[in-house]
Amino acid sequence: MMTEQLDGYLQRLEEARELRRRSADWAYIESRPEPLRTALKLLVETGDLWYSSKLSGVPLDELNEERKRARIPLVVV
Amino acid sequence: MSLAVADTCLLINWLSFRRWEDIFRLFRRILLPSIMVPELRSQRIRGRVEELVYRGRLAILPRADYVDREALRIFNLVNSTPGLPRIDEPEAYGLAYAALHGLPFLTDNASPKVAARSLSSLKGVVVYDSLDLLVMLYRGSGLRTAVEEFMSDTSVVFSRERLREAGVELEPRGG
Repeated sequence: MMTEQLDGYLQRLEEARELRRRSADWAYIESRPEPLRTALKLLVETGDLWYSSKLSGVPLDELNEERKRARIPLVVV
Repeated sequence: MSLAVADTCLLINWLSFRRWEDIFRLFRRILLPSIMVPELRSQRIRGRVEELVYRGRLAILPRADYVDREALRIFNLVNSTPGLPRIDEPEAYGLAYAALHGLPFLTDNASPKVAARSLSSLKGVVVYDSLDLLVMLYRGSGLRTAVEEFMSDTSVVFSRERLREAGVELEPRGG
């Protein structure tokens, strides 16, 4: 892959992170008990469901349902 | 196409989509690595997975040493290459299996796709995300409707660039 293409992907990933930050229902996230709260914040920053699930110990499919309630989009770039 | 390897996130997304069975118009059977199965805890998803296995639409891949070795190589290569998005262990395993067997890998995460396009040792490995699958399944206004339904059912958002590349123009949201 050309460097410009890789740069383009990285730009898209950064835009995706901004979109997650903007879209998230932060009041909902702050209202959740631990470790769910940290898992959702991690998901906003990384966009990586598996990573957030693994680090927090919250089951992946449970975290996926919670992310919908917290209005955190999974952004496909 | 006959077979494809999928990761858990994409499978969960598709099982939430109202037209989820359409994915089997593209692939006769989907292969899910067994290392990803423990990630599925909800009864609803597990029930659907069990039904798909029973119907022969989904097969669980046993863990194999030769795939583990390739997965570790990919994991180390991607995660030590500056600029590439980090790849997770299950994704590396799925990508390794797909690469070794000449099958497409289905994932909504960027890392495997970027890696397959960036690394010479993964040249020729095909990685599809959900938008790629929707584009293969539907045309014209049908595609736009399917994209809107998919986004609504799954809370997945496709980036503007990807939608533009796919020729999909969505109605502006909100007032």
